[in-house]
Amino acid sequence: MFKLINNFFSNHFLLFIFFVICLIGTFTSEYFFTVTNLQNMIRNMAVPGLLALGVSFVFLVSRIDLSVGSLTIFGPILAVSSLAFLGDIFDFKVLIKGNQYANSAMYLVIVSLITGIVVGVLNGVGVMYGKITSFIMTLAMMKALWGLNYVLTHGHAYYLQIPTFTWMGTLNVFHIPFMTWVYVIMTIIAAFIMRYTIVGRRIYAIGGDEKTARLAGINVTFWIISAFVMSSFCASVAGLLFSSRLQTVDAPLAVGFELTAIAFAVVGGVSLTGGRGSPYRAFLGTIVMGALFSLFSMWGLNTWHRNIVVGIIIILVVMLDQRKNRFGRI
Amino acid sequence: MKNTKLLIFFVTIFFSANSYAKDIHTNINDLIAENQKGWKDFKNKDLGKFFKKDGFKDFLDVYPVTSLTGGFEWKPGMGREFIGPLSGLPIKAPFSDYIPIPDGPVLDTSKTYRIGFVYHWGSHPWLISLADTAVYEASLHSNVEIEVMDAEGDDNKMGQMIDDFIAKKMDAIVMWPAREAPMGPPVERAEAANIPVVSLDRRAAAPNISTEVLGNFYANGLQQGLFLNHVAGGEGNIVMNRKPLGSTADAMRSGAFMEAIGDYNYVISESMHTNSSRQAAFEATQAALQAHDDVSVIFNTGGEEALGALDAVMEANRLNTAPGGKKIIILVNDDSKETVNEVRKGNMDVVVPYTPLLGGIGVRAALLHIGAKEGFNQKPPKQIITPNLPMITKEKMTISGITTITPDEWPYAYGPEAE
Amino acid sequence: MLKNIKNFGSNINLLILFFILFTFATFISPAFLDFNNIQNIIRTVMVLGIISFGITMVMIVGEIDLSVGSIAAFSCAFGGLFVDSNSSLLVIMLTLFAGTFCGFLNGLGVTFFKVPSLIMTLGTMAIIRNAGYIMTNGQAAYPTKLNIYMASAKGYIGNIPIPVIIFILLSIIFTIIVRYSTVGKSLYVVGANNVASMLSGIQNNSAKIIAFTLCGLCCSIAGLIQSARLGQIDPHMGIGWELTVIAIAVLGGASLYGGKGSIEGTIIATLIIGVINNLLNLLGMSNHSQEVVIAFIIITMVLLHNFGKDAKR
Repeated sequence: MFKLINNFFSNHFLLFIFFVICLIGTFTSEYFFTVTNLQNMIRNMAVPGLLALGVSFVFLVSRIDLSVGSLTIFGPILAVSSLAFLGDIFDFKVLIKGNQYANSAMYLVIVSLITGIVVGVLNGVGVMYGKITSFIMTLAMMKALWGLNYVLTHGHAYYLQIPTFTWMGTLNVFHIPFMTWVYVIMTIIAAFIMRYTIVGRRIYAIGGDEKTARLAGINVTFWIISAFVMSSFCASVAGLLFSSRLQTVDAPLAVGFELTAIAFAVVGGVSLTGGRGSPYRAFLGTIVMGALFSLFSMWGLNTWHRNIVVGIIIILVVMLDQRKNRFGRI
Repeated sequence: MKNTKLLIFFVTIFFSANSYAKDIHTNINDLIAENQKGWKDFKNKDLGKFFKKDGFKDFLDVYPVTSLTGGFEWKPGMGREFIGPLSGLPIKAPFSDYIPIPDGPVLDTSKTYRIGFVYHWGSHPWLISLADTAVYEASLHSNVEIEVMDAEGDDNKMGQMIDDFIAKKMDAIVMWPAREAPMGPPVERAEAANIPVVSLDRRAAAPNISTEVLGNFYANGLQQGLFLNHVAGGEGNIVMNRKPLGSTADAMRSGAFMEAIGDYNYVISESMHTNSSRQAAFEATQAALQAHDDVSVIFNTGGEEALGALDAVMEANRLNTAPGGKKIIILVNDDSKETVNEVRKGNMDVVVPYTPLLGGIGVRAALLHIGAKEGFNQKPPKQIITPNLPMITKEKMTISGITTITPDEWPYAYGPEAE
Repeated sequence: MLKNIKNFGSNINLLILFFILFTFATFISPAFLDFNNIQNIIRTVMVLGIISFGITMVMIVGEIDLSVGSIAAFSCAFGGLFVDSNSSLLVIMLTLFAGTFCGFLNGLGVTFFKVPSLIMTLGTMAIIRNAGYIMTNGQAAYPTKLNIYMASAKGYIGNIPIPVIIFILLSIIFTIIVRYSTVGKSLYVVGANNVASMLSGIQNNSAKIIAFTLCGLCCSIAGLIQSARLGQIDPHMGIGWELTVIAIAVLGGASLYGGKGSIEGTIIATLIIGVINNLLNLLGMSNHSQEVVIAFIIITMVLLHNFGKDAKR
């Protein structure tokens, strides 16, 4: 009986915290519980939330993916600059006024998604076949993508004047921003996959004990590479949403997103050492931190104080959760 | 005879003293107008190519070059002195009398007016001085509150902060956009929510913005170019430290500079974007000095960049290694106390002021917009130009009709004291 | 002990790479061998190099430290608060103390509170840096009047710049500590065999705490020299340093699993990165293109290491 209560509480503890934060917000600021602010709050969660979702797949197999931040904007940047390049060769105009992209949205989407998958495969191959620690592999990938972002854009920003994108960035369905819908739907799909399909079973098996899984005949290499692909794919989608909101792609953007993603996933209870966690947990971490950020905005708190609180929370959450803290592989 | 001469003497002094400021603003505007007359190819083809590649003309052509609002005439010596509320440093703000609002409670004295102020990098001396003047202006009126948010260089964050201001139903927003285009959508949203937005210094790509307070970027680049022509005789290898590509600050200054030097024999050895960072400019200049041993000019679009570049030059012992054993000419804008001091010491050759002390103008414009909404006054103009300022050189010179100022004659330098 | 000798083997590979690069660079660009240029290489890379010493020790002991940039910024900012005291010694001492203390905190978190170092230092990275911002209100301090402070980057002893001397001294000191002292050897023991060494818990914990504390000290020294170099103590310094120094350490043979790596390897790796950086500068490659090249080199080196003669995994 006690165990049941304990389980219930720990499973839904974060949900409880989320509501507490919202409650505090409502009582301490007259603007928190307004449509505008709530929309802002859930919209702002979409991009980091997607990144956290992606990264949690990789965590589940005891690896790490640092490349998601740079990858987020790499997709759109690659799309725009490649089209511009083709335009120069085949003599069609892609950019107006130097750096405004007013061309096909489809191309942008397709190239971004494919890029994500390719990067994920590269990461996975490097880790599994090259036997490079995922930290180093994804670190190198992050640096490479970051550098390429600058090289491909020549340091300019590309301004996206694409009607479809503008629509994506500003649309609200039933008052909920489009970005949030994408995030929630992807989370639901991911949760379904993890819980009810073979994908989930394999990944949890590997995360639980990789050696045993291998001995049991599971194609560990394939599944780990898949985890990286899922992570990168989420990052690509996040990138599309991000650029639709900002209507710009620019090399210096999205700095530090990978660390935020890791923080969100960890706060939600996804373990770095593998085997514990789920898309739902990443979601919980995201909404709690998202609500907290919104609260701080309403309080007019400087980013500094906010970052300190986030740092403390991350450490505390992990410290309190000491059950499976053996030294794990990264 | 003697009396007549004396009379002429005094009349001349009288007129030149009075026409001093007017001449500067109008003089520089006239020089700019000549360049804006139309596209003419540079005589130096390579410079022409470079000019086209970075799309400067798009920015230069649309930049307003007009007279000052309300017939204001600025003269050196005007302005208030105070201690910056955020930085704690002493400030003499030159434009406190421009578009003035009397001290004390404003508009509807029973209401409290809330202004959201968002910018980047309060750690940068120029930017914190900007914020200082804004906060100071707000402090002069007891029913005005100002909330200062720092987006630390993240365009996405600034957009979110503006959205937060909208959610908090601020009465007006005053902002400093690092780059034009990403700030378009958030500003449009604010204007659509009936919140007037005023941009300072740099522009945002928002057609419905209430007011833009514009600095004299054009005058910066132009004067640096004119100075260079004057002292270098039309030849040199130039290393450029620029602001982010696509920002007003970069395009205007670099473009205006190029327009001034475009007909002469200069070579651009390196064009680097070091984005207001002393550190980045240090490293980039160091690299450039390594790659080219014949650097004779370093063109900087900002004070921090210039200081970083100077540090690199000094560390590499290259101050006097321009061809012919001459000194490397260092061109700077941003009149921080440090850079002005370097001119005094002879390390930097010219500093064209680009004063950050504009925040007050922005807040006053914002209050006037609120006032217009509530029926208290007329709307302020959509574009508020700040007075053109003359360049600062170690010795007084006259270049293209502009009389330069010496470091000791310039009380408006901002930032921390220099040694 | 055997592991140390193994490391030395891979260090030979590194040395060879270094000399190849060096020769290559001399051919490509005559400006390379210029005395000023060599000095510049060392000056540019030594700030990161010093931190790399610290992080090598942390990695040998099987942990990681993402807060290095933040510690550098915070410790210097802390010292910078006292610039008006006009005492270089006071400012320097406070800076070093702050850095050491931060490193110690990391060590405590990882050992006594059992927080995995990735998380601990991810958290402290944010906490320490922003504490620095709050402390200084985000404003830089200017140590230009403090002569000894400034001399750490701009001074000379004879013909040799002081920062180079500092780098050489620290290289020697840390090499001796890590390779020849009991403490140093215990780092390897703890790092290589975490399960077994947990039996003697005290050694485990103290080795880690020492590693993190020394790393913090290294960060403050590096930050100090960097500040002196620019004449400005900027609380924003060090962003992004953590990943670069980890890359340098890995290039030098350190492994995230612990038990491997050496100060000598790190020194060579630092110089390699410095030479590459310099070479690419001389070739006119932008900083960003260089990032791509360096990423590529790291991957190649790690692959070589994994599939080379003395790979055992």
